[in-house]
Amino acid sequence: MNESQNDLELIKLVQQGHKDMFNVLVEKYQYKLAHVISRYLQNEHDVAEACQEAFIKAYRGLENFRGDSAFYTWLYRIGVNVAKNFLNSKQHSQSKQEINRDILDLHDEHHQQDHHSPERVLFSEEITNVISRTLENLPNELQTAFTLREVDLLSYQEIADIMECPVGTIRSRIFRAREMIDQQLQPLLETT
Amino acid sequence: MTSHISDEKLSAYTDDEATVNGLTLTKEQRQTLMRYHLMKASIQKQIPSKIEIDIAKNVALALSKEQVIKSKVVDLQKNRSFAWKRNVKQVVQFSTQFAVAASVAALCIVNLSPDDKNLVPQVPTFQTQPIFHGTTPVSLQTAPQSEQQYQVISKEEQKMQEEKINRYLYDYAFRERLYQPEPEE
Repeated sequence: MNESQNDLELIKLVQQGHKDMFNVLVEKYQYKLAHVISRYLQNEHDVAEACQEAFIKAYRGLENFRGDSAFYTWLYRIGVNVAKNFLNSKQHSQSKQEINRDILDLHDEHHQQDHHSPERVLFSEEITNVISRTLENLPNELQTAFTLREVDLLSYQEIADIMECPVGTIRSRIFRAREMIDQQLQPLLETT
Repeated sequence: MTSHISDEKLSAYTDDEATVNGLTLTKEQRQTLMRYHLMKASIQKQIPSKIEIDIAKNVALALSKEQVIKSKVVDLQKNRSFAWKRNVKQVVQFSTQFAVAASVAALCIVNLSPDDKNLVPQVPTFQTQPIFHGTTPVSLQTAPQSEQQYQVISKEEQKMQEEKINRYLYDYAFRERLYQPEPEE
């Protein structure tokens, strides 16, 4: 089982008319895509907007997606194109704004206050801190299994070989580690 | 729809170590999956320093206005296996053509090779003197070919051949006249 196979199963469902299954892909790749787009756009609101545009473009193009390349590779290309176009249009509008700066300054201020509802922003540093703190307090076997998986990107079988225990045990250890981190992460996401 | 997916399986699914039917996922399980992916992206440093966490919610909202894809249902796995079969077929086809061409070429080489010893001069083209018997310059010496080696055609045979050729030419001219379409009136 690999990443693209799981994605292909979801894509197949979307292509069969289960539109909601596309959201599972969005939930999976939103952070990675946002990370790619953030290399082009600095403002987190712009990143979110470009992300949304990229996902919608991907959904529209999914009709013709044949699975020749992995879904994320394809999404990545769409994301980069959207970010570049976004940047160009933004620069264009900025140069226009400069011409009428005196008139628009005040208007923009009002416009932003009216239309930009306060979005929930998350700082990756906070998440990293929560994960690190929880990981440090985990029992040694859970910590090792989880680190080998998430940091070293080893498969369950490889971890089982290293730790000399069955794959089922590794699966359980990784889950327990994840569950404990998740318990600490949930309040942070709720309060944001 | 009831779900029988255990949380442990969901965790394995995050790592692509298990398969899960997406349709059986509950809302809570999807939320959990999303946090697992956030965890993963954060550890692998694939997350921007500042991120709006409502991206998925906003995409879902925008997606609700989109049309359902149903026109082109493509079986991706099948497509891949068909592509694989097509490639194998092409390779087999090419190999067969190549084998036939190679066989024909080999046959031509064998048939045209001068294995008829009567036609090949038996005397080597170059002859060098032995080391200890003087220094006579190297010369191109070919043995005079005997007249028997050449096929001499007699006058009778020549005449017969000419007659045969003439008969062929006559026959050709006759057939041409015979099958010539009549001019339209």
